[in-house]
Amino acid sequence: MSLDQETAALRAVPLFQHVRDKSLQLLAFLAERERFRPGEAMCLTGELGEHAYVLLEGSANVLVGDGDERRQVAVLGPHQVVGEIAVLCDVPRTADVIAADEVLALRISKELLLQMLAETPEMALEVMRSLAIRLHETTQALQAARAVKG
Amino acid sequence: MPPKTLLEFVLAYSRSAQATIIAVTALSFPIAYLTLELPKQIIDDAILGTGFPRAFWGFSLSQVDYLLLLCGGFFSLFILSNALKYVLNVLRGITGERLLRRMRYMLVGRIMRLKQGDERKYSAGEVVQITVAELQPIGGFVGEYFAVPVMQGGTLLVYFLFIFMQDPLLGLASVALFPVQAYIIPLMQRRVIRLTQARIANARLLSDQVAENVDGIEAFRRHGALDWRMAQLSERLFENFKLRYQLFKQKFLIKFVNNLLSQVMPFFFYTLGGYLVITGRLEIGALVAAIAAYKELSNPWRELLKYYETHSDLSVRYASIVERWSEGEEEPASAAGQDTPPPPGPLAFGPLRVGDAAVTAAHTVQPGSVVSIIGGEATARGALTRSLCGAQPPSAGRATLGGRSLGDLSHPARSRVVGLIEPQPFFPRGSLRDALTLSLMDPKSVEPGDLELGPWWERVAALTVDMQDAVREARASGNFALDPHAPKLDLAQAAVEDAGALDRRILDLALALGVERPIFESGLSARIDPVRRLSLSRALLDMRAALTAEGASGLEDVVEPWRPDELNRNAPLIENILYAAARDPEAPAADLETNRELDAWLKGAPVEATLLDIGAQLIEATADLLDGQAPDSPLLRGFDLYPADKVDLYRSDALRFRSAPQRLSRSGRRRLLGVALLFTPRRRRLNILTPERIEALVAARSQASALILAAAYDAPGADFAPIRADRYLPGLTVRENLLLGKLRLDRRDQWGRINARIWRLAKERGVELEIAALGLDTAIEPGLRNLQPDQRERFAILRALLSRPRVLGLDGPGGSDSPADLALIQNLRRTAPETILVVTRSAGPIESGADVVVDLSGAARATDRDGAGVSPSGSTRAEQSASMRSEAESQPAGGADVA
Repeated sequence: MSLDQETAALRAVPLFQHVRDKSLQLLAFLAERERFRPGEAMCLTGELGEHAYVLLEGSANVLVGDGDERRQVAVLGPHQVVGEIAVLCDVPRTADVIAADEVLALRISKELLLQMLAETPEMALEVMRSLAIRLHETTQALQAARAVKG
Repeated sequence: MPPKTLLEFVLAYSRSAQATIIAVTALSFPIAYLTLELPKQIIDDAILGTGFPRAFWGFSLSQVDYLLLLCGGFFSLFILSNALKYVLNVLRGITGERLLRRMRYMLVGRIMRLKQGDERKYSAGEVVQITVAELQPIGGFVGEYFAVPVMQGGTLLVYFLFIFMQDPLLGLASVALFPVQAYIIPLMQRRVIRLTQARIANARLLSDQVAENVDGIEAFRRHGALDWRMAQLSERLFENFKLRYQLFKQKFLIKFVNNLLSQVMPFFFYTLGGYLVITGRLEIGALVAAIAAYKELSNPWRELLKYYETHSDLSVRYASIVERWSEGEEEPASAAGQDTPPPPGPLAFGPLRVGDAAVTAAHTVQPGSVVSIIGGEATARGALTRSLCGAQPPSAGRATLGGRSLGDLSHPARSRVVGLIEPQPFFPRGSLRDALTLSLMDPKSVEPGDLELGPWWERVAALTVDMQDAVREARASGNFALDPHAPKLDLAQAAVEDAGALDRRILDLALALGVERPIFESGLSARIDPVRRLSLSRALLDMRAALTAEGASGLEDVVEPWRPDELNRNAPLIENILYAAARDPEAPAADLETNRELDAWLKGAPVEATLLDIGAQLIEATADLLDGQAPDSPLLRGFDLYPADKVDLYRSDALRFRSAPQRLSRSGRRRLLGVALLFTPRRRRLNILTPERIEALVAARSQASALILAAAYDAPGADFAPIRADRYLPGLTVRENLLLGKLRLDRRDQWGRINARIWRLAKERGVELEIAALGLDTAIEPGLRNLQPDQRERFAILRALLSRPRVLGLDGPGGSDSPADLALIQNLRRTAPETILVVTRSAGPIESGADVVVDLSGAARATDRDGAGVSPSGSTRAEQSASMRSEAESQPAGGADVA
């Protein structure tokens, strides 16, 4: 995948849609590309998050809980961002993210991401929006889980 | 504590040096007198004199010979007097520097020895300001404390004497105004002293504030309070300005008065001297000589006044420093018995009160037990844990170990029996081993003697400097003469025989605590010199063979091996075309401006055109990206193809190369080549490598090895070492050497797998300890910030366990019921079975084996427990019986509350 294609892929990520062209190209250039084989972990619960990933190819499962309690809560595909919460909020990873098939992702360091946020106010808004949506989804999932148990 | 006044300090620590300086100074006076006397002789006797030839020491001298003799003498006197000046200056310098070193050492040393908690009376900014900036001028001054007044005062006297010898009346006239000056100047100086004191106080506040600004920059920025802080700073600077303005105004005023008074003197000379000449009571030659001598007078007089000003300024400064430094109390010099650890025995405490925590009962804890501190506020639990480790004195009651109060033990004695782990443990700069063996630094090493306090011949001999002899120099300034790079470790405390066994113990503890990985991994990232570590490098080469043999089983997914006929996409092009690695990773091997050999080889080599082409294309592909980015944008920090601020220069090089390559400058060519040489294909996704280019790059290898490498491989100072399966490469890390390949940049998250694989193999081959030892030698990131917080805590625990403490306090780790915390406690019981664990618990008491439970939640909770079967914390029956047992032990003390 060339730089132009990667820039286009980043542009398709809602988080980056308002970032200036030049900055996005530079981001695509500076971010390292990383491959994961099926079953390899991209994030593990409790680890400190030093970087986020943007999925370029393949998909990944988001899992929470241990042992019997372990549940899949989401499946992420291309153009979706993985692990940005730990980076933005300075908290340990909140879930396991495991590659479902061959995954190609852009690895974006914490420093780089925070700088982009500072440069692009719309990006912060997008982060808020996606966090709110996720909160809503989590709450619904929780209610559903309670209903099943109850 | 340094003496109260500067004079006392100088006398206490440099008496012999000052005496020597005065003696040498005294030597210079006769010479000074002679330099006045000889010219008179030359004119009056040699030039205008009569009666030649003259007899001189049995020789008969003609007038010219006599003149030459006197002039030669005059010249020799100048040489002698200047040589003396040189010796004097060096002596003063040595003395000043030593006193400065001593002062700084004393002041910082006192802070380090302060009683627990007293160090909070000082701020870091202030300590730095005082020891670095404020002391500096004092250091320069103390060397000439006596030398200047003796020298200048003496010179002044010599000149007076000379004038008096010409005419007593003139002599009187020349000193007439000195008493006036001697009265007025100190009067004016007093205001200077007051202002100086205010300025010093203000400077300390200023440095405090600057330090706080830097510490709190995050908070000020977050709350948008930067402007407010800057306004405060501005006010402080204005205060500084006002004080300095008043100071220099006053100083110039003093100068003005002084100049005025000294200009009045020639008036006396001309009137009085003229009158004396006219009335025939004085020779005109004598008057001219006296006026010349008077002119000379002004120099030493000015020096003396300057000395007086500096003296009063610095004395005030010194006094203010010592006064500030008297705050807080030093840990008393250890009285008899305090320096030895207490005899074996239980930890006993209570009833006691510390901070918000009150323990009503008396507890006796046997070695190997666990004390769970539960209930109450987190701060109260923490305070009690600290107190049971002797780190916080109780406000009432006491804690004893082996019958001795923990609070009475000296720092060194306590450090031998107690360990305390608090949140955010501290790790100083240095190697990991230094950070971990902190608990074993031998406090028994004594400070060596102080030369300044020794017999006089030693003190005089010390006035020379031997730059090689750091120990003697340390003694001359009363410093500690321990070698900081090879600290003496108390191996007996760790119960090990030698340094190797200590490493083994560190590794064993690390394994028990689950932190062996960071040690081993930094060992794998270390570099060794294969010549000096011959056996290790051989063992590593054997491991390399084993690893490559089993290579097919998954390694290649994470490592790209070096193959002579293939491009390695995870390595920079420079390594690819040379098929070699730089010997010194720090050296800018690809910088063609300095590496002329490489430059010469590239010139005309077939690969040069390919590299230039690649360099130009890289610049063309990236230059546009950099446009419009602010020069200080952190986005640019990750950009390393070429300096982002020189993008225009590189762009024009690339343009020139495309349009008129023959006109590309020599440095432009080097820049293009440099960009290409450092380019790592996998790292930067620019589709630049066509099959033709790859072929050209790989083809270069055979020429390169023939040209520059074959001969240079074993030559010391050679820049590159060729990659060969049977050679250990000094420029590569241990890991890269083992793998004989590059870690795949796009498989970064899986690199840990490789480490695990190597670890397994290293254990099989018995070299794991040696690799771990390399890791221990590695310099750590400040505060181990690169590690996860829980790993930092484990390292702090490891450090404490190394000295086999009898009591180990855990304020934080092991506090919850999480699997990790419970495993930690179990682990500690196993690794340190004799150690008493004091654990601050946010959850209930530790489920099994909690021999003593201290509940801080107060009387209400205790009643509950005694009454009904269920306590509010929901603890099990076993725990309750345990806590009741501990309560039962309180019988003798009666369980009364401590008031």
